[in-house]
Order: sequence, then C-alpha cells, then structure tokens
Amino acid sequence: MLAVQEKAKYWLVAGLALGGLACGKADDKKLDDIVTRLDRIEKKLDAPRPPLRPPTPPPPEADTKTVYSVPIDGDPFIGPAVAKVTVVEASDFA
Amino acid sequence: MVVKQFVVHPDTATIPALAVCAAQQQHKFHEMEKMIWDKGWPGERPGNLSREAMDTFAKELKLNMAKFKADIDGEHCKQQLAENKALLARLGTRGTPGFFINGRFLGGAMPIDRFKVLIDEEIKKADDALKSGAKLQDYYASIVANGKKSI
Repeated sequence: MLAVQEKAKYWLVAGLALGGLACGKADDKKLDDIVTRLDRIEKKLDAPRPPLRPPTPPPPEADTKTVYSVPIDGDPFIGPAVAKVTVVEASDFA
Repeated sequence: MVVKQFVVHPDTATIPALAVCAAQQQHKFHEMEKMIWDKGWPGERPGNLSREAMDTFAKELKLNMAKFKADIDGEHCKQQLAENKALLARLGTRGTPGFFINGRFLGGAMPIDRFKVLIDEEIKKADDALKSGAKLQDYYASIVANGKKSI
C-alpha cells in the first residue's frame, strides 16, 4: 500500500514538475500546495481506523435447566395421555 | 406432544388459530392444522387464511358447521388464545417454535440433538421418580405443581 502510494506520489510530483517547468515559476506555490495536501491524505490513509461496527457479543447460553409450570389441561395432543416426557410446543401459523 | 397456539403475527395467524381451536371442540385439531398448512398456507401457490377458507376446510373435514361457526366466532376460543399467549409469554416464550420438555424451555428451531439430550435426561429423571414410588399418571402434574410460574 505504502509502496504504491510512494510511486503514485513520485509520478504525480514528477508530472507536475515537468508541467511546472513548462509553465514557469508562477506555479511553484501550487505545486507545494498539492504536495502538502497529498501528504495530508497519506497520513489519513495510514492512520489506524476504528472497526466499522463493534463486534457482536455471543448470545447467552439458553437456560434449559429451569423447570417451568406449563399446564396442558384441554390442549390438543399427539401420543399417549400420560407419558414420562411431555413436550409442549408453542406454535403459530406464521 | 401438546400444542398451544402462540400468535406472533396476529394479522395472518389469528383466524387459523381460532379455526384449530374450533376444530378441537370436535376433536379434529390435528386434521384442521394439517389442512391449513397444506391448503391455506401460502407456499408455491397463493395462500388463503381467510375466515371463509376456514369454513371450506371445516366442510371438507365434515365438521358440524353450525358448531364450528359458533366456536370460531365465539368467546371461548378467543379467550383460550389470549390465555395461552399470556401464559407462554410469562414463561419466556418470545417466538415460535418454542418447546417445553417436561417444563424445560428450548426456544427456536433447534437441531434434533438438543432435544435428544433433554428428552434422555427427562426419561432418566422420570424412571428414577417412578422407582421411588411416583405414579406415571401423576408425573406431569407434579412438574406443573412444582415448576416455576414465570421467568
């Protein structure tokens, strides 16, 4: 990145210098201004930047230990009326 | 496996939720649920979850139409829907699908292994309880009685 910038700067300055010879000393100040601005741009490009967005924290582990009271009286079910394991599904047409 | 309606998208899901409740009054919950998913839910063709579509499905299922209409438009199913929503929300449900395995919450569409782990643990707990004298017909009721009532 830096090498490319240096080359670009070299050719730009060289080109402007040639142009400057053609145009005379009146353009020397403009050339200095351009080099100063180019230096400023390079400093900005090289400066460390903050990440675009803060890293997302991982989701908390789901709590599957707590036992909740889920009454099922009158609800539709599949399978035997009594069982060692009862699964209640929260469902919707969406 | 017990099903409770938890309406997340009221604009589309309320009418079919009332329809399965009304069908349940004639012991046809699962038949109506399947028909809504198969014929009413928009898939490769436009869906139809309208009130009129529910009547058509009920006729196909040969339900008593007078009773079906009374139930789908009546207060009982509306109240059941509201009560289930309030209950499940109080217990931490935020979307569907959500599952309670002997009262232990598993939210979202999880890999089958997540279910297997919990189910195997619960089978072992139940076996231990039965060996200690618990009765199978009272087992889930004891979970409901001792479980946490809200998050």
